[in-house]
Amino acid sequence: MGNPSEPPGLRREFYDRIEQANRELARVREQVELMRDRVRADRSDGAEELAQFARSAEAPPELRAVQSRIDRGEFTWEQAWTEDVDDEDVRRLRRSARTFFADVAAVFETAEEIARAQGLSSDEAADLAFQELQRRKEADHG
Amino acid sequence: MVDVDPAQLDGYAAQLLRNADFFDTPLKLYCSANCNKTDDMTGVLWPAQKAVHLTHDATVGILTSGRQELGQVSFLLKQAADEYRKADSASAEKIWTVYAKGADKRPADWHEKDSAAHKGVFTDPFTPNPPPAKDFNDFKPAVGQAKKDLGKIQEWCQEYFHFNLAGILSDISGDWDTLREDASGYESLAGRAGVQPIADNLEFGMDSLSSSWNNSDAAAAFDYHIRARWIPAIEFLQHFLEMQKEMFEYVAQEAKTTFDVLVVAIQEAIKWVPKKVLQILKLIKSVVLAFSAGVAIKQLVAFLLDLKGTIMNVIKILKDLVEGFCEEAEVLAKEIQVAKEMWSGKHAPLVGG
Repeated sequence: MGNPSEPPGLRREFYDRIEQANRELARVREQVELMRDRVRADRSDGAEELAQFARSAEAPPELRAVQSRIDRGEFTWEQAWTEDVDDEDVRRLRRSARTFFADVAAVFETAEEIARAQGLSSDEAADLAFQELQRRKEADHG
Repeated sequence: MVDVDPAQLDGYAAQLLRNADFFDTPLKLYCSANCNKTDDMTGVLWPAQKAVHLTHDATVGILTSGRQELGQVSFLLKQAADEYRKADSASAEKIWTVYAKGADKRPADWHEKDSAAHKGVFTDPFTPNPPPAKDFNDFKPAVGQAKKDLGKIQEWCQEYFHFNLAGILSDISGDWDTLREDASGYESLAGRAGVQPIADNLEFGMDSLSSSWNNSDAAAAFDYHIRARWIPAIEFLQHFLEMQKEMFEYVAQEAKTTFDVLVVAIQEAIKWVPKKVLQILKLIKSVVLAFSAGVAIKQLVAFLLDLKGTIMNVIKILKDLVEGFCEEAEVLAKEIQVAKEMWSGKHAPLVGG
């Protein structure tokens, strides 16, 4: 029991926890700042780059088909990717993309393991994981 | 020879009873309506519900004790008035010299304070009427938007990359504003329209009575019981309610700051992930990943790793805050009992006295 001759207060342990949370939050904030820097530094225009490629002869037919719909103003690349566009060309492209993005998933999974096991930064872990995937692909294809 | 006017004792007894009732109405009712909210305390905030209820129950318990104990003081004062009226001073004196004895001993040199400023006036200068707790509506829309955006990112990740963030996203919910609303309730309870009027009324009535009861050990004991036990006990309770308010507010504020950082990360992700994905789409049907796509893939993967790490760190911070809140609530629920011991005279001071 406390002594009423001394004004009671929240315990030191409580404030310590708040301070601890602040310290951890400062680290998270730094991490988020790095994410923002990455976004700010990237001046590429994904949609424009993709549109140029999709109009070229090297582009696969699924990509060209969607690009021609986009060129007709039916939807944008962002919508084709991020929204539920009811269109068979978009669905076909998404099916193709799914297989391709499995590689991204594999890199992510490996990178997560590497980052956890070796305590590396996300960039270092992604780099190592990508190299690992390339080695596997090259081995598979002789 | 005791110098006493029993009618004045009756007057103060009636005032004490009215003030005892204030513990029930409006204070206890107010506490239950304004300090016990757990609406939408889901996700990582879910365990805090128990602590909110514990804090409320402990507060209601102390208010109930206040009602009972002050009611008893009123009853015994009325009884003493009756005994004095029957010219049985010995019985009347015994009531207060025995009842008010307590572990908290009255110092030998305690002198009752006489005041003639408003002799015989037993109206209440103040009435508790705490204003309704404030409504807060900052957190809920932010959580709703964050969940919506994260849900979108999750859909993309699930559909294209086959990895699932849903397991960690379920923790990103809960309306921390509810804690701020509870805090506002405790602030009102602690304030000038909360418990404080009872202390002010008790002091006012004691002054009104003081010059009508003299040359009596019981009068000194009663004076001590009101001025040195009840009034400090109510001040202690006030301070305690402020601490509860502080505890609720600290945690809610810290959670809001933490969550705001997550919102920034999510906003970046919502803008940037689709852009990277469109870059990567150029490489569809490539068998061996080309260098140019490799850069985009590595950037995307690193970003998603950072995003996931940020979400997990934010959840950890929030969980730690809730854990600290629950621990502190348990400690406070025990410590609030000091008020009960103070006004019942059972609290033996550790120093002084």
